[in-house]
Amino acid sequence: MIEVENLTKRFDGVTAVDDLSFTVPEGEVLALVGTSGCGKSTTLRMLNRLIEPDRGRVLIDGLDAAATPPEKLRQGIGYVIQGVGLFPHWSVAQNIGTVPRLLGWDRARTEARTRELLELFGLDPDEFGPKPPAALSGGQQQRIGVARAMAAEPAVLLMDEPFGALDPVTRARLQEEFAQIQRRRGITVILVTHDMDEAFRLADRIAVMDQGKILQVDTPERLLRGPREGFVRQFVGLDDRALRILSLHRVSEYAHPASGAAPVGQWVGPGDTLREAASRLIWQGGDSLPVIDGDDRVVGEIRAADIWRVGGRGA
Amino acid sequence: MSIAIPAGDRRAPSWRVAAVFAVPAALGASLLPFLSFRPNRIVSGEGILLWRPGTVGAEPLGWAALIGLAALTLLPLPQAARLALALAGAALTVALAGQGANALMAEAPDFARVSLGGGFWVALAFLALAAADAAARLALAPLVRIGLLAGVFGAAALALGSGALDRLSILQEYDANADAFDAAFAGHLKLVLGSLVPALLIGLPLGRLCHASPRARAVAVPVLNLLQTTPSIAMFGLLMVPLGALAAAWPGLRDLGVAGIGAAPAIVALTLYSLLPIVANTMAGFAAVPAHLREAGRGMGMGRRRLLWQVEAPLAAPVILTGIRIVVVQNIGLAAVAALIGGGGFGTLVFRGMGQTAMDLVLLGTLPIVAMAIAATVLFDAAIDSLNRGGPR
Repeated sequence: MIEVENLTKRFDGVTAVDDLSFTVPEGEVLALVGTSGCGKSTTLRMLNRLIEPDRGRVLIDGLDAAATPPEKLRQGIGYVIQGVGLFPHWSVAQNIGTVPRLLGWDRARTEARTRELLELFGLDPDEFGPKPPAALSGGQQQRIGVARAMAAEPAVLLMDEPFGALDPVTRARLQEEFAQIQRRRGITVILVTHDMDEAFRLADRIAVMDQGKILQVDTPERLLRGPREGFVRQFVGLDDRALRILSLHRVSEYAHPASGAAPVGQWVGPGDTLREAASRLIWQGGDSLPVIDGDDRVVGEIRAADIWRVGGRGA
Repeated sequence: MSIAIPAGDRRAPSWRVAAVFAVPAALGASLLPFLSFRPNRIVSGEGILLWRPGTVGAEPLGWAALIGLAALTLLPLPQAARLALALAGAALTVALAGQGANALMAEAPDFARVSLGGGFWVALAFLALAAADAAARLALAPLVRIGLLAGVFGAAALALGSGALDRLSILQEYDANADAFDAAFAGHLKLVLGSLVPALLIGLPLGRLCHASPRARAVAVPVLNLLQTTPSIAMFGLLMVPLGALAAAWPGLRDLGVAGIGAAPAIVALTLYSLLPIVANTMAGFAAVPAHLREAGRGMGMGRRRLLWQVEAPLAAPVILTGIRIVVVQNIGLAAVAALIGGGGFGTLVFRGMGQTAMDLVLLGTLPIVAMAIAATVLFDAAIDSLNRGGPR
């Protein structure tokens, strides 16, 4: 759990972060979103004291961050920096082992943890462990960046634009992978991004920042349904809000029991979002789509009326 | 030997590129005297053309073989074959000189001299360049390059030790000056290493400081620039006075070797000359460490010292090592001048040879300096390369 109270930082008389307070309960993902220069990165860097706040305090699991020596504090907090920042002179395995080595883990434990993380991120430890980072693709490097931050099993992860500079397909796959790992491990995450889609995909709550202040903190759905006037409304973007709301819900939540007939043409899986279902339904025409599981069996159907209702103003 | 060649170009160069080395080598071996015969040490010599039949000391067949080897390098062969041809040509050049000297001295009195002529030097130099060119294009692994260097030096040592070259005047000169040669070698190493160690102890921390503090940079860099542009003779002169005064004031220092003349001012001067390249490259090396890697290290909880030794220093190392290479090669050459103020080293032989107009003695002092400079260059380049290959960035 992270509690931030009255955090303030000024640079040369300009207030970068202005009296910020928020709380992130254990296991939650909070996204700090906003335009460049809104203070989101500065806020993140004050949490692990890469920047010392002028005023206010940060409590991590009830302990005042200012009372812990900065190096020790940072060893206990996972940090994924913008631009990955893998050390080019170390192998992938050495990179992942950075914090465990700082913490003085023995070799066997560090190695076991490194293998576990590589497997967790779908990379063969024997193949990728000894490679230099430069031999990896962009997406693989970003995975290693996240794995490195998680190496010492920190309860809290700070991420600064973790999946930037990737093609949309790779980014979406990495986001999906990370969301699964995060939920399974119950890690508390503060994520800085300027990409609203990333925030919607990963965050339990989203804090919209502008000029050093949080204008609104809410769940993605509430933010879409009730954005405050002004900057939030503009930044969240209301043109495709119905589709965005649909993308927050899974087919499995709204599927009805199967009505038999084998599918012809379009279908959806239980894990697909309602947005994907809507798209296929529009393409196909008609009132419903079959829901088919991984074994090619029809397990239910999803109805247009339900989708329209979820995405509508009244839901 | 660093030649500006795109490394890794394994394709054979066009015959025109190969001709740059092969044609001068062949012309030199054909048109210039290969050896020079003098009835005694003082008189001027009589040139021996390698190809001329019927002359004592000439080797028409050997000459033809040499021209043949040079011509073969013009063919579109793999670089490894060109390297082998060039090395074989260089070895043949040396062997022909030894053989010619033996033939000439067989009929001459003991005080006659056979020295190496322009043809020999031109042929050897261009064949060595051809070998270096081929080796550079092969982009050999660092250890292979060191092995190649060791092979060439080993072959040279074997040839010198075998006695086959003993009748050449430069080796007779060595025989007469063996003790002085050994002392000069030891003295030269002492000058180069003796100035390198303090230069590193001062230069590396100073470079790091100048990287971190613009204030320190503003003071240090102009001073070092001034030092670098001071001519070496003037530097020795400037150092003689304060060091002499120091030794006079504290006789205890004199026992440690501090004096106005001798090795002390030479080592101090070489150290001062070393500082600018080391400081400048240390600064450049640290400046080239990407800021986001520093941020990553700090963000994961590395302290300043750990960040320096585990992240910044290894990433800056290749650039710093380049600076050290510059300094070592520069000082191997500069140390020759130290003989002027009694600092020892191979310069002793060079200046003595000049005084006696004995070119062989000059060569005896010069050739080891060239060999040391080449060895240092190859070793440092291999080390820098292996660092860069170890951490591709």
